[in-house]
Amino acid sequence: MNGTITAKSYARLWLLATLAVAAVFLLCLLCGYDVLLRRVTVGWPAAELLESRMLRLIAAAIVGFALGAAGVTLQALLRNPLADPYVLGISSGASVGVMLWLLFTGPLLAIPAVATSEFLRQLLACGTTIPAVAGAVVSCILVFVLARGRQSNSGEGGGGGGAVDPVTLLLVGVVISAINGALLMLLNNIAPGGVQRSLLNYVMGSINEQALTWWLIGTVILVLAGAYLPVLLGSRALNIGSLSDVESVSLGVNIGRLRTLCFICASIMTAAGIALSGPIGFVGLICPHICRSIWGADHRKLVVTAPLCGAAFLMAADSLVRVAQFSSNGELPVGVITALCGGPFFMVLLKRKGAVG
Amino acid sequence: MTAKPKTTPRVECLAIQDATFAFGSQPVVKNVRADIHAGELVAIVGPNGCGKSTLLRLLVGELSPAQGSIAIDGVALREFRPREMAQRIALVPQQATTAFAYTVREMVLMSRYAAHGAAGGLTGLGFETPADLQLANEAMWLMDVHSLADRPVSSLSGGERQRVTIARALAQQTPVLLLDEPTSALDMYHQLELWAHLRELVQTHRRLVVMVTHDLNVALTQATRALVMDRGAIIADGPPTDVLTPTILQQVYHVNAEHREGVLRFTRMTEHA
Repeated sequence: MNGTITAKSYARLWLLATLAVAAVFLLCLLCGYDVLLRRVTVGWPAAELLESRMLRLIAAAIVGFALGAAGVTLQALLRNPLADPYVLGISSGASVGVMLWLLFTGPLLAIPAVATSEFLRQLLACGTTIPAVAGAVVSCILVFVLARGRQSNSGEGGGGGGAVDPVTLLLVGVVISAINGALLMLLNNIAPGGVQRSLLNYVMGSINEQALTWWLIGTVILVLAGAYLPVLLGSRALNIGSLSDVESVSLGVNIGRLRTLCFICASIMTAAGIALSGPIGFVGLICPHICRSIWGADHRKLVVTAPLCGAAFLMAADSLVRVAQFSSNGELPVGVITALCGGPFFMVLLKRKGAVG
Repeated sequence: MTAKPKTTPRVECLAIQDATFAFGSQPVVKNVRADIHAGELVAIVGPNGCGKSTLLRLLVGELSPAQGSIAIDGVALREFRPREMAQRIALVPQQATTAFAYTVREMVLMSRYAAHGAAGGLTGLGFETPADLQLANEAMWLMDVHSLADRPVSSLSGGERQRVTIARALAQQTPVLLLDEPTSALDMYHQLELWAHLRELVQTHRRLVVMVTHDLNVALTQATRALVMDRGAIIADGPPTDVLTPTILQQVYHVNAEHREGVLRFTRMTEHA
């Protein structure tokens, strides 16, 4: 029945969404099958190519999952369906953290002892997640503090009760993105050459095959799972928290605690994605919205479906840039695709604000 | 938390003890003192900005009094966990808006969150039981929104939304029910239905109902007790017929009032001057 969830229907939803993502994964893996076939016919082993493709696809899935989950969490928390980690500048905050890390650990890689130790190199690579989380959390706190303003008597009786005005939200996002963008440029300017080159692709958001290792992916999965689980378990409270403060309290939700928890988790999830890919935009905006139009507004369903939708979307987008050679200048960053899809989508949503659902 | 009794908790007395609250340096509620008992239907009346709604926010625990306290049967509100509070006190806010398109049923079912699984942190994910669905259905029938159950709340009219919000509070099954101008958008039929139901809750089930209203005739005819607030303080408290007198109303609202055939009629003071 519409609007009610049983353990059975919930399990069915998980199964269905996971199967759909698995199907997309297989399809994407076979994208560019001609290359695979050619290798096989010439007698080259195709396993290596398959592995690097799988690695990249899994990375894309993780990033999409993380951004979808962060988007749906932020939207509920800010009570605004336009919220998205990229638009709000949280993604770029995480990128600043990643850049700082690259800058400071770059020289370490020149030390022979470090360069020859596989373990230390992996450790340095996996360590990016820490500054990414820090940058995201700082940006997230700024967004919230700036967008919400102070407690007042307005909305007497708790009517408005903390819903963030979309215009304020977007303005705050613009400011924070601009500051973070400037910081990125500054860091790039003072960085040694080796780091500099990859920046342009990184800032647009792309999944860099060379930098991916199973270690890094494992680390990111752990971090992501740690931040996703609390949101998943709190998804029923998220429904209530998306109303006004006074309604949350009167319905039994500790809104202060929920808000803190979700902000931290959304920041960590964003950062986990950004550590793999750079700030890929609009996934966190598009996917929750698509899922809402299919499954309704209940966050218990959205917290399951939006991340999986994000995973499928980003795998498809990344496969597109991998297979399609738009020019001889190398691969297009996947962030270009998501922004080209998401930008217009965002504008339509903004225009329809009021009838958003 | 240890196992809780499955029965709804009872509340005999909601005591406001010298509660004071200020937004910044602006005191909004000043030394308010009142004991409200089970079986009472209390109407809080007073001019705009006199602190009525803030008092309700204090009663529901969203705001905490700067001085004084509010207690349920002798236990201060802050001693209760959020869920325990919500098992005792439900609120119908003045206006309920949401950015998301929850259906009417989803909205009403949110009331059942507090009733279950107070087992510490991992309590958010939960599914409604058949009993929850039953309670939500009954509340939707009572408020005549059953036929709208699968419609998004955002597509409804103001009065329909108000009925959904009331249905949600009713489905919460609490001994205390607070309503902030619950009939401001309701048509006459639904107003009368609501009053009949509130009277039944109070008389038959000994619930405790507090409502803020601007309709002084509603306060006069429906409530068992009226509190008149002015500039943050309670200036009169008692049976509506004793409290809503022309003298007090003139002092608070600056209007002329007279009782005629059991109904209050108002005129502007300047017209008489």
